[in-house]
Amino acid sequence: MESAQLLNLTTFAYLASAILYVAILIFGTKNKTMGLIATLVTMGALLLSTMGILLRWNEAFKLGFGYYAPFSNMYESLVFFAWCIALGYLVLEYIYKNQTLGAFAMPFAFVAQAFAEYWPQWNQDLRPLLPALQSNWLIAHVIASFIGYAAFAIAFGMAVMYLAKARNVDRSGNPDGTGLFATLPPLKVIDDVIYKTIFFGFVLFTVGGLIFGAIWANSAWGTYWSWDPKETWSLITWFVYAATLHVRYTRGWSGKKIAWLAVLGFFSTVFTYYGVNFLLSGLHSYG
Amino acid sequence: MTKERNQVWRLFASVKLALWLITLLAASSILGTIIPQHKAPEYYIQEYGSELARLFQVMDIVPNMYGSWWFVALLVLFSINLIVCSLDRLPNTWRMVVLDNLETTPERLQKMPLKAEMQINEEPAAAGERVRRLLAAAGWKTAARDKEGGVLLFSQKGAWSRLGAYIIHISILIIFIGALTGSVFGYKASIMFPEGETVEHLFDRKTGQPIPLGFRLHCENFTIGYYPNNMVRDYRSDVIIIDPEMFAEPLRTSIRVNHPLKHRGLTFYQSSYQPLNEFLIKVQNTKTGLERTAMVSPRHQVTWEEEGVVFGVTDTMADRMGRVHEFRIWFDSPGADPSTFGMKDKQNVTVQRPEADYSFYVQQRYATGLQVAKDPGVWIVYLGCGLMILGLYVAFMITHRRVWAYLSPADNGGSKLLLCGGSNRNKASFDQRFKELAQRLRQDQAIN
Ligand code: HEM
Repeated sequence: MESAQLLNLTTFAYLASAILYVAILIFGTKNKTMGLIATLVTMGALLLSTMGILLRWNEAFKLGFGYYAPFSNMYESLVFFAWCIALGYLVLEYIYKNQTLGAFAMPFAFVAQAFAEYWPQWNQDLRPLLPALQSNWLIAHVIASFIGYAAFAIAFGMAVMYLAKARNVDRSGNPDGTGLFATLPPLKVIDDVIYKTIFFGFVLFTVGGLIFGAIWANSAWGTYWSWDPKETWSLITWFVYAATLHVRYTRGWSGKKIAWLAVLGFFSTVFTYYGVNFLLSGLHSYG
Repeated sequence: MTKERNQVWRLFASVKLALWLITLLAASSILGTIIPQHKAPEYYIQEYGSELARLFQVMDIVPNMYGSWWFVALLVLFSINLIVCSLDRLPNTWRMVVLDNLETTPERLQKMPLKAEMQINEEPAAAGERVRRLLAAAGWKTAARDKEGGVLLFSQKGAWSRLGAYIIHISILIIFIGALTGSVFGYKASIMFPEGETVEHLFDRKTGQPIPLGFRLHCENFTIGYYPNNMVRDYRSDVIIIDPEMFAEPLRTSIRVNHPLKHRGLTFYQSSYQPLNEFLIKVQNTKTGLERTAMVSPRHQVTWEEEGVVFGVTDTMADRMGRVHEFRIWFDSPGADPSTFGMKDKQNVTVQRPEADYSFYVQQRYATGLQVAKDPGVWIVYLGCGLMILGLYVAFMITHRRVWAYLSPADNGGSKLLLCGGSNRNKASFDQRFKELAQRLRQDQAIN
């Protein structure tokens, strides 16, 4: 089996997982077998992806690339991003024992993976690392940033869930929501998940995205900060989440306002991750 | 006067101002990513028209917005805000950290978020000792004080976690100080010099002025390494540091991408290279082992008098970067007609002649390009980064947890135990631990 096939299969496994969780959301959480299947399918998908990534690493090694890390281009990073979301979601499911969260998380894993596999723009070929990319700091930087991004993506999913339920609660006047919304966790719990995921993402993004990134840049180019668009957008994203934590902690914001900030933060994250490379690349020579 | 001072202080102590500044910094940073920075004036006129380009220039948005007076002013305001806000609140937080929690009253304990009440069939002093032992066994070392005929026990963990936010804020200021130090006392420079040459000066990147190194740097060799598929794996300059003040012997070392060389507060980074139109040729008489090395440029012949040999490079094939991959060599020695042959870079070829065989080696000469940074602030920046990681850890991972046990005399000669506590975050998990703790106490036969 080649890594490409495994990773392609992963796409379908994520799709199956996403569909199962949406079905659980729609038909209710009563059916325990379906819940179990959904969890198992998600674990299976994660396993497939893990094997795919490891195999790809091994293939690079066999091609004589020597120093290599399977996070070095857009394709590989998207695969890893999806992996982080799936893992992050499983952890949440374990902590909160609630499968309705899955419908707001696993579709993102699927979208990221499908985007990686089917977007014609990516080069999926294995290519060895350019000299500048051969650095342990870079690997730590990429891994931690992507875990942070995944946390922000999950916070975004939870925020969408919060806003949908809050709207239903406002309209129906029932504090637990009606119909499908009643099966979602209580608003207070979702609010807590959003806050904690943002917290977690913020720490990883600060350490991995900004600090490790700066250390790497300094060891490769001799400048830890040069205000290039990618760096600047990381900083903007960081500001958005720092502001979110402050309004929460010092001004007591919660609920819808925090949910909207989680949405805003995620847009900034996506732009940092993806937009900068493709919308601003014409203007700046960012490698 | 003091009233005005107070108002200014209050403004800078407010988190509201911080949020506005963060929003402004974020919004203006976006501007600098949309309008390209560090371009020539003509570029802006061409892209945006002369009027808009004028406006950008007047507003200091180009060519370097992040260094403009107003962006720097925003950063300064942000720093003042951070300092004042922290100074304003630190005393309160500090009081919380060093608070004497045994000074509290039974009424206030009754209002704690987590509570459990129990009976003990011993009078308060003995019961207090029992509870102290039980709590210690559960990991809560207590201090005790007599209180209103009873005994109050108290234990806490992670009180200093309340300082986490301050560590983060200080770390941001330290990073700013480091950046400032670097920009005032440091510089960026570069050098480009060919293999086999020695330099004593750098050239400032901004002004182009030469800067004395204080020692000599010699380039022995510049090498490009390739992967099996011919993509570049590595750029490497083998250099020698000649610095008698520091080393008795010249120091041989190398500079690679991601592996800079540090010497005397300067850091040398491999950043570029230039293939030169000069070639190192080594010719050896394979019979006698005699050898001759020469640096040649195309179409210049070299004479090796002792052997009566004449050679030169007549033609080269180079790629777009100027890297030569094939040479045409012209060769003549006594006893036969001159011959020409082709060979590749860094290859050995043997030519057979009537009197002897000659082995040939040819290598293109390169110049290596080094970026040089002097940044005495970088360690301050790294210190700030380390502190920030510490602060994040303290602020997010450590919880301030407090437990009180108050034993008061009961009517039946025994005592009443009020166990209570609270935490500043992770409330759900502390709830659980508190319940377990109460459970554990109840298992003692004297307590129910
Ligand atoms: C962008 C830079 C900043 C970052 C990354 C940052 C980070 C943090 C963090 C992580 C916390 C702890 C939050 C929690 O425990 O939930 C915090 C708290 C706080 N921050 Fe900031 N901060 C920044 C800028 C500022 C500024 C400029 C001010 C100035 C007014 C400020 C004022 C505060 C206050 C008052 C607290 C609460 C502290 C307490 O009472 O324990 N922050 N900050």
